[in-house]
Amino acid sequence: MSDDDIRVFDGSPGPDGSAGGPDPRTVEDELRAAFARHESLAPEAGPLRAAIDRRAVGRRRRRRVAQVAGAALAMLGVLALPTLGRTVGMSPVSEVPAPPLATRPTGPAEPLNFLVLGLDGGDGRSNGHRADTVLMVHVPADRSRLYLVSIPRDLGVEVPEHGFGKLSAAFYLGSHRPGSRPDLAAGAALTERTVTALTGIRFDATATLTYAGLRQLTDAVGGVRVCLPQQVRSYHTARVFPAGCQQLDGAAAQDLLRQRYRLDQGAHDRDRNGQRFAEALLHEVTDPANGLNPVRVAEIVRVLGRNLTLDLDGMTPPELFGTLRTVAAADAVGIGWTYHPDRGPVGQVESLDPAQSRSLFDALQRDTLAEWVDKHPDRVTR
Amino acid sequence: MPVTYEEFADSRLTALLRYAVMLTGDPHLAQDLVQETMVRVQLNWRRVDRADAPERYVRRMLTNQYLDWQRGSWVRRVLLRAEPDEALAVRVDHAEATADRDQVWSWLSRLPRRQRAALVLRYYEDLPDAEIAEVLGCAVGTVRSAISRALATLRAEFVEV
Repeated sequence: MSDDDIRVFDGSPGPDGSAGGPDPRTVEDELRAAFARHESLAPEAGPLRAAIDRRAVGRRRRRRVAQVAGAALAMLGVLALPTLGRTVGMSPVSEVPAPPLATRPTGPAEPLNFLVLGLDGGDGRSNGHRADTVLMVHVPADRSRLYLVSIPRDLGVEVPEHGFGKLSAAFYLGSHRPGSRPDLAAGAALTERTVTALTGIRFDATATLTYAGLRQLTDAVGGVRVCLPQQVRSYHTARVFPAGCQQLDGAAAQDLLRQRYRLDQGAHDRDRNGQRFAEALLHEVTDPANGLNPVRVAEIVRVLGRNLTLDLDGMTPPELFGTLRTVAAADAVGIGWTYHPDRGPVGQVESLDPAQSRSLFDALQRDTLAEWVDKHPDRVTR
Repeated sequence: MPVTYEEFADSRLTALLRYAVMLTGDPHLAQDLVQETMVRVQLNWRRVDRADAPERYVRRMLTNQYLDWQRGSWVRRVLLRAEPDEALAVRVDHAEATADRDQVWSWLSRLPRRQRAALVLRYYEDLPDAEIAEVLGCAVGTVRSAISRALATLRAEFVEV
C-alpha cells in the first residue's frame, strides 16, 4: 500500500519549480533511518511503569473522594446515606479524608443488586409495618445504567418459615415483636429472603425507608421534581397532582406515593410513580449543582435516624459510592409488570405470569437485562 | 481475548515510549505523554480492554493527547505540575551525540503535529493508510495529503541543503 502512495510523489517538482530535488525514495529512506536512529532516545519502561502506577493510585483516590463528597448519595439517596455520614463524618469538604481503597483486586466488575423497601405505617401505628414498595435495583457489570424493577406488593409468595402470603406481609412477619417496637432490620431480612426465594437473586445491599423517612429525605434535598403522565388525585388528602412535571416537597411526595386506590392500575401505577420519584431523587442528590456537602449529609442522616436502615452486606462504602456515581449519570430504566385486571375480591393475591417473570429473573441473574428490555419494550415504564 | 492492564503494560510500554519519542522528538516529553496516557488507560482499563484492538485504542489515545498539545490540556497539566518525577532521570546523551547529523530529525520538529504524526505512523509504525486515518480520526484522503505536504516540505529542505 505504501509503495503505491510513494509513487504519487515520483517526479513531483521541487517548490521552486525545478526538478532537481532528490529522489522521493531518498526522503522516505532518510525518514525511516532517522526514526530508527532515535529509537535509543526512548526512556526506560521500568521506572515509568512504577510512576504510572503511583499516579493512577493518587488519581483514583482523588476520584473516590470526589464521589464521596458529591455523589455518594446516589442510591436513591437511600442506600448510601448512613454509611456516608459515618465515612466522612463532619469534616469540611476540603479535608475529607480519603476512604480506604478497596482491597479487592480490580478485576472485571460484578453486577450488583439492591433491594429497596418502602414501608407503610411508619408513624408508630400499632399494627406494624408492611412493605408498600419493593424495588429491585440492578446495576449491570458494565455500569451502563440503573434498572429499577418493582415487585407487586400484593404478590402471593412463599415466605420462608411462614408459608404462603402477600409479599408486603413478609416485612410484618419478620419485624413484628409483640409488646415492643418492630425490628425493622429483621423485617427487611425476611423480605429479602422472600424475594431471593422468588427470584433467585441475591442482594448486595438492602435499604429500608419509612414514609416518614421519605418525607424527611425529600425535604432535606430541597424537594424533588417528578413528572407524571397523568393527573393523580389523592385519596388521603384533597391534593391533586396535575399531569406533567412538578416540584414536590416531603409531604407531597409522601402523599403521592401512598396513592393507589384511584389509579387506573392501582398498586402497579403506584409502583411506577415510585420509580419516577426514585429516579428524580437520584438525580437530585447526584447533581453537583446541589452541592450536597458532608455537613448536610450528616445532618440528613441524623434527621432520618431509624426511619432508614441499611444492610451493606460486606460492601465497602467506597465501592458502593464508586459504582453509584458512575451509574447515576445515565437515565434509569424502570421495569413493570403487565397488568391483569383484578377480578377477585379485595385482598386477593396477585400472581405473576410464570414465563414472563422467569425470563425477567433469568435476565437479572445473568446480567442480560439490556437484551431483555430490547425484547420487551412494553414492559419499560419510563 | 481479554488481557490485564499489567500484561498490556509489560508487552507494550516500550513500544509506546518509542512511538512517543518519534512524535515529540524529546525523551522527556515522550515520557510525560506516555505516563499521562497510561494513567488514563489504567483507570479506564475495562473500556480499553473492550475495544477491538486495545493496542490501537491506546495508540489513538496517545496520539490524541499529543495532538491536543496546543489546546494545552496535557502540556499544562504535565509540564506545569508542581512535583517533577525525580525518580525518572532520562538519559539524553544519545540526543547530543547524534544531533549534528540529524537534520531530518530537526526538520521534523518544524512540521505541524498532525503531519508529523502521519509520517511517524507510516514510516516508523509502518501502518497502512486506513489505520493511520483511524488513529488520527480523519479520512484516508486527508492522511495522504498530510503526508504528501510533509514530504514536500522535507524535500524542499533537502534542496536548500
